[in-house]
Amino acid sequence: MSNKIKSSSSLSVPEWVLPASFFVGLIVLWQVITTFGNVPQYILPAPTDIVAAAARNINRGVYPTHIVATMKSVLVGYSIGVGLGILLGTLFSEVRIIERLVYPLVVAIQSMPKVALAPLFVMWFGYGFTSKVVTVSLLCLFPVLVNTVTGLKSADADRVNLIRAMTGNRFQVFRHVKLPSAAGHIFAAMQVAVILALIGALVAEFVGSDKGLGILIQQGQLNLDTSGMFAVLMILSFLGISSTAIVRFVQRKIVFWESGDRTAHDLH
Amino acid sequence: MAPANTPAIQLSKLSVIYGSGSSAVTAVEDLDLEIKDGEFFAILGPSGCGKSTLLKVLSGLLNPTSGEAQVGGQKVRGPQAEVGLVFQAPTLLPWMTIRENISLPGKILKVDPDEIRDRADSILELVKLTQFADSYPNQLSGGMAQRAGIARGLVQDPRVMLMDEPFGALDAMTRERMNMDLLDIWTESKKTIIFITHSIGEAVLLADRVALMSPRPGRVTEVVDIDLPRPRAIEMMSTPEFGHYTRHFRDYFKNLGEL
Repeated sequence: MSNKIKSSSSLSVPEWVLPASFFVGLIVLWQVITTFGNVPQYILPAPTDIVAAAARNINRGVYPTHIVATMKSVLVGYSIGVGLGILLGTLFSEVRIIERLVYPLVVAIQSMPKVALAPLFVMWFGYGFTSKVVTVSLLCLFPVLVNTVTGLKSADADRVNLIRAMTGNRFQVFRHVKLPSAAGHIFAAMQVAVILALIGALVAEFVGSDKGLGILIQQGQLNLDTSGMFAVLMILSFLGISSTAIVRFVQRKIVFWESGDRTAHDLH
Repeated sequence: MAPANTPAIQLSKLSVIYGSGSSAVTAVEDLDLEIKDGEFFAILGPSGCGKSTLLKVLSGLLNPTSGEAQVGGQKVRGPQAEVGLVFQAPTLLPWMTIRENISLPGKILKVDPDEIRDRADSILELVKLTQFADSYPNQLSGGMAQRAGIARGLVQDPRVMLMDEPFGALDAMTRERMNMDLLDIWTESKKTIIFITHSIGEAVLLADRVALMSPRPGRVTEVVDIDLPRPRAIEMMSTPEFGHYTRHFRDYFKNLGEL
């Protein structure tokens, strides 16, 4: 019996092997096509060209100031957007009249492509940091707000009654039942907001800034430096993936009861 | 504190009507009931007889349309510490350990933390969950979770325990064991228990008196004294006396068309 288990497990490969080999294969194919396929470098540079461009720029110390500029506005804008989203969401779900008054407006704004406002923000708040932060936070705000409202309202009625029957007041119901019930929803929105924050920062840089990864991309476009642009895209996807991973890590720590084994809970 | 001869619970002409006008539904109508201090009182009735509505009124979550409910001689005006509530599902909060769940009523009433800890420890021992104090609810079996739910209802030492079909979701074996455990807890804690069930056997096995309720509108049609000796044991369920009670109740529900 134990033999059988052992042999079958030694035959199986880890789950990541297949997608990883596909990815490597794709890069190799890309290299082959660009090297032997007579593709102009300004249209599609070879992976080796991109790595070379990245290495050159790293040696010249190009990236740090731009990465810091972008990530600073991402971090500040994200924090403001998420914080305001949770705050307003709480206000909406706890105070009926505010919800009635403001929620239709929120829905209207939400269905508008908010990056379109970035040029306006440059006019209002000037060139650079402030307009970037405003764009980023506006983009992050809405998914968090909407999910906070949904999450707080999803709280189980029995659990709410439980706290009320213990003579709990509204704040205690909120703290012990509603907020923990909403946490999973809020974190889901926070994950989406990470990518929205990067999008917001990049667009804001395109329309009104002199520093940041968005500026590097624009410079690459002006200089026909496609390899350099791809190098920035690589940095951006690395930043996106690792920021999302951080949020996911925090989520697993805080909303621990929603990950892993939920079978016992589902039985209730 | 009310004098000892005050009934634990008194309902007078209690009615609850949901909605108004033509869509009004009478959930409970003209309920008169007196439950003695320390009594184990079961309420037996088909679904829709207003049992849960009655518990909501007693726990102060719902105001009656007319009439009144008293607990310990005081009119119920809202939730109070004198009443402990145990739900159909254990309703433990998954983000808290068993100890935190059980300590929650104390925390809400702003009891001194050391005192909360002492009470939680002794109550955990009573329901035999000491070694699971720091586990989370999803690590417990259904029976253990429900014991934790009962412990939480007991921890503030309420005068009255309201239990809404607490064992309905458990399998038959666990249920029998929980019935016996509950009787032990009741004997030790000397609480007044109002126990809602739709198991005839369970009602007869546990209670001093059983109230029969009729559905729509919910009325108490009969209150039966169960003259079986204490302490009760599972074996009693096969005695003729036990059968006499269960037959009586079964006939009642048959006449209602519920069986």
